[in-house]
Amino acid sequence: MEFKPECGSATQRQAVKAYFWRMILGFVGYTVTVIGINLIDDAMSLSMATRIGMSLLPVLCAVFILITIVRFVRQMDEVQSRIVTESALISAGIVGIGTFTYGFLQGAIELPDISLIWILPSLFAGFGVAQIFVGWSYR
Amino acid sequence: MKNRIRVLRAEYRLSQAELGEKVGVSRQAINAVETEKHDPSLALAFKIADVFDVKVEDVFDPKG
Repeated sequence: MEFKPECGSATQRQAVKAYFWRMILGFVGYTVTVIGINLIDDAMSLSMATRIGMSLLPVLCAVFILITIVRFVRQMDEVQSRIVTESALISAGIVGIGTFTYGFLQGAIELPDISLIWILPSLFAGFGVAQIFVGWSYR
Repeated sequence: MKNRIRVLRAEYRLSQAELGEKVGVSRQAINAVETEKHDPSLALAFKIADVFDVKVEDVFDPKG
């Protein structure tokens, strides 16, 4: 997440610092698990149960990142949290309606399937872009 | 909501950032309230009034 709220107080600065390190931890964990899973999966023949268990490891990192974001938003001031909330809503709306529309179009014309794994990155990307415009509107 | 924050800040020679520091919010939040883009919570309104040592209704005009 690219949002860099202004640091109005020492408490906020501390919150930004903690958020920054937790996000790095989350993303490093995510990257390591994704690369590690692929390497192990290529090198060894694993049972189905092990493969399922391993494939869910990056999800734990994504949950950790989500919890970090929610905790950070709770420490923001009311304008900053409003910007984040509006941005999240806009992103959810665009991605939701986009995928909904795509699903209907797939029923009408032949379109390639899109993997569900792209939903979360799309939400984050939409969230980042929306924050630029929403944040700008409050300046 | 109409308010007199800009006038009061000028009287007290406080920047938006300094006022934000005193009430525990960002400069952006003070700017958003001052320019009427955001109606402050009751708690924030009281804190701002407290900094200027006036009543809330002397800072904010709910009819505005």
